[in-house]
Amino acid sequence: MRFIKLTIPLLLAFLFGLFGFGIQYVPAPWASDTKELIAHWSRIIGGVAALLGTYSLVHLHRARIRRRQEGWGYSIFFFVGLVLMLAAGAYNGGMWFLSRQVEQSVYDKLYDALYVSAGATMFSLLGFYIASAAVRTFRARSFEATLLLVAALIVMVGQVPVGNLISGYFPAVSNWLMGVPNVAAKRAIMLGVSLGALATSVRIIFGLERSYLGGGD
Amino acid sequence: MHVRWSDPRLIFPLVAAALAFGLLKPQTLPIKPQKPVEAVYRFIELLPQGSGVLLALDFDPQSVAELRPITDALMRHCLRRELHVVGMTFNPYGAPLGQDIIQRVARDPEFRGKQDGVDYVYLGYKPGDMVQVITNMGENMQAAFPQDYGNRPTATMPIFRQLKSLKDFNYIVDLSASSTPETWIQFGSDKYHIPMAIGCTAIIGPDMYVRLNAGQINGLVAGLRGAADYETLLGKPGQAVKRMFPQSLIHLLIVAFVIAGNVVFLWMGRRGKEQKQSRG
Repeated sequence: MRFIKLTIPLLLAFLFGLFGFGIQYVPAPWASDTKELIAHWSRIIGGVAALLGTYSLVHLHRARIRRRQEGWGYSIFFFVGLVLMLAAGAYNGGMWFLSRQVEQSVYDKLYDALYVSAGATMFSLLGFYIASAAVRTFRARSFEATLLLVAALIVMVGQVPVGNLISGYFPAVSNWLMGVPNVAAKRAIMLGVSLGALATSVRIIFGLERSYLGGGD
Repeated sequence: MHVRWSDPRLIFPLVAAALAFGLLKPQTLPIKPQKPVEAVYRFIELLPQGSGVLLALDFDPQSVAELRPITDALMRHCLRRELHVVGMTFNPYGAPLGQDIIQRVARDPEFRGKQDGVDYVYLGYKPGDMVQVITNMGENMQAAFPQDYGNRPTATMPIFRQLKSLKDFNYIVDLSASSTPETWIQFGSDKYHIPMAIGCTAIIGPDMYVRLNAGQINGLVAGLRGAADYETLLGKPGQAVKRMFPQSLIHLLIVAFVIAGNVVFLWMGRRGKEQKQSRG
């Protein structure tokens, strides 16, 4: 069991990790064909993962309804949405799913009227939370916090047209903050993240990092 | 009921009220376009007639409020300049959106005579590894996308007579709310030496300044403000320009709240110190 659960996955990660890395340096047609083949495999694996994800969601929400867990009513909406969109997509305006997609079908209408509106609404709510979070977190507690506070206020005013009406300095200073200190910090973060990702990849290839196998090993 | 200064029950209604006021009583604010937006506008303005522009509409409905006005303005500019526009997406949830935006602009009476498949086309979503799809596009556009979003064969489309592969495009603009611009820069723009710009949400705008300063992109249209700048440059104020007033009100409200919150914070801190000293 240990061989199937641990040795084989580690061996596969090692082989595919080294192969995927090494093949980038082979300027031969077979190498590019192999890369394309691997990309096809990953697409198939992605499709299977989507199926597994759907099964997992169905299982989770079914259990929630059966056990009458808190908020189980929302799970009913999950099933309504799933069945409705699947049926509308398969029906395809009476042409069924093997034919070309019919424009302005029930699927399109559901997408425009429900999904687009709901998605945009969810994102708009962020505006309220950001306003509330800004008020609570921007406090002049220390020198660094005061610097952050002043910079945030300048950018907030400078990024809207009213900032230019108050003073031409607002957009100018805001642009400098975005173009110089912001870029310096972002570059440092990007370098750190990239080096971290590289180190983690090497650890995965050589079997030192095993958390992806699950079980907290 | 005790309501604190920073209580969402106080902040949320005020934000909603300011937003409602801004939308119901719109005011036109003078807009001075920012340099990164101007750079995109100028580049498109200087492209020769018939050049190919790829619009990668890599966003979903969540970011439509910001990215639709940007896409709308860019598409409008390209069609006005008689450029050939090819739209596509790597976001499966946003595929129908791209079709809707492109078709709406193309149906505008200003662009009467522009034909789908001749002057513009929307290819929709292509599943699979993004790097691999871009590489395939670099070899052959029609092989990478045998059909457009409406399942019509691309092999017979006149627009692809000139735009055979990604190398034939003169400009790439990635409209995104995620990390897709990074891949487009590495495997589309850098690899095939095609100038590129980014249109993005205001949230990821600061991240894109790194690319702008490094010269990896020649322009940036970030957030609703970027869209408003572009509409101003086009001389056709639209939704983004209209929404600048409510956005300005909200920003000023937050600034006022932060300043007031800090005054209260400092005053309370000073009072606390004085009380300690008097006790000591």
